[in-house]
Amino acid sequence: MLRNSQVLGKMLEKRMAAAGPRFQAEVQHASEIIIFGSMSVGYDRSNSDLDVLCVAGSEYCKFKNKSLDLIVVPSGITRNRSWLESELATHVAAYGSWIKGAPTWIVDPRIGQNAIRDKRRRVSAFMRCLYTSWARLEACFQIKYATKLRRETQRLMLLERNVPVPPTAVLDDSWASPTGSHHDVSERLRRFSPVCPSSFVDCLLSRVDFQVSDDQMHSNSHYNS
Amino acid sequence: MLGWKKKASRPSKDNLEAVSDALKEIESFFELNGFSRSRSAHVEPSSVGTDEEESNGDEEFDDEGSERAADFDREDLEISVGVFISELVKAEAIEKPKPRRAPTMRQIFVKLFGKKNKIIKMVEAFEEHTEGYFDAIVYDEMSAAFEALLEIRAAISDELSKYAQE
Repeated sequence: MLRNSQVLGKMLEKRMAAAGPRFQAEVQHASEIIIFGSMSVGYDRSNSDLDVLCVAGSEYCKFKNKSLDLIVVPSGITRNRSWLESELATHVAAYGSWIKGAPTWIVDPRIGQNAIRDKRRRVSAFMRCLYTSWARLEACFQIKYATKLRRETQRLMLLERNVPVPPTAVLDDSWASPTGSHHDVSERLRRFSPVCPSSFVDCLLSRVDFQVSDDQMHSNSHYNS
Repeated sequence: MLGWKKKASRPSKDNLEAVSDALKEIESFFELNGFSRSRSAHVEPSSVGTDEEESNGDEEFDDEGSERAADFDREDLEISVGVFISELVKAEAIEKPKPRRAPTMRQIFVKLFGKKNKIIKMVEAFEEHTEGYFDAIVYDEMSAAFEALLEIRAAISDELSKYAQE
């Protein structure tokens, strides 16, 4: 369920202080301000940042710190087909909360073939690269990258089904649930890179499960508090 | 919390050499992507996303934004940073991180060089330029990150040459 836009607006106001005058001006003059990601759907954890999309001006820019991830996209972008069919736009259309302006560009959100092709290529390239470096990586990095690869594969599988990608926390929860997509994801990873032996995919997924058990521990304590 | 072998405002010669060696992991990523140590020999960005665009004759859309300079995958670079830090662990310049706490490059340099060392600003610039936009890094940012990396390399060489003069 989407969060109240007034609550989100106040959260943004607080976090904008650190962004500096340039970004404050962008936000002030934006035609649309949209909160997306886990905060928008109330799925955030104690350390979640606030994801913000601003439609303003004529240039792309980005500000990121621990509490704020702000993306400014030019005003004309909402008429650009490849952007409208992108992972970001379709995610925002499905999960965004408008705190300024209106979602006029969301007519028929659909995921474009470019978005799917890009994601497929990225997952494949990431897996190959990870396989090459795997033995040289410390356990903490194996866990980190294996988790990232698992999430990217989940996203790809959703995009292929024309389903907008949900916030990362939702992906993690679905992975950790008893009906999670372990089998589908591992099969998909095996198919991706025939040069990688099955044992590598198994090892990769065991690292992911290690991380999930940790995340569950944290999220349980968060929800209980 | 991470534990560290040494907490120094001036890193030891051994640690500097370890950083210098491990840095090759990140440099080789840039070299593989066409960036060269001779600053004038950068790769030229190519145009992507135009030849396979779907054409549907829908006039309501403007596709100008689809023509852009080549993007680089952030993950590949991230893995090279992971290998860089892992190599420092192997060289015993830093202690083994805990499994759930993968350190950042900045954290490593702060521990080795101290927060106030000029190299920290260079590392911050490197991390900022490689932050990416939806996990892709545009050519200009990659180029700026490579410049920052060259500065980091130069700063380490300077520190090492000071040891050589002592």
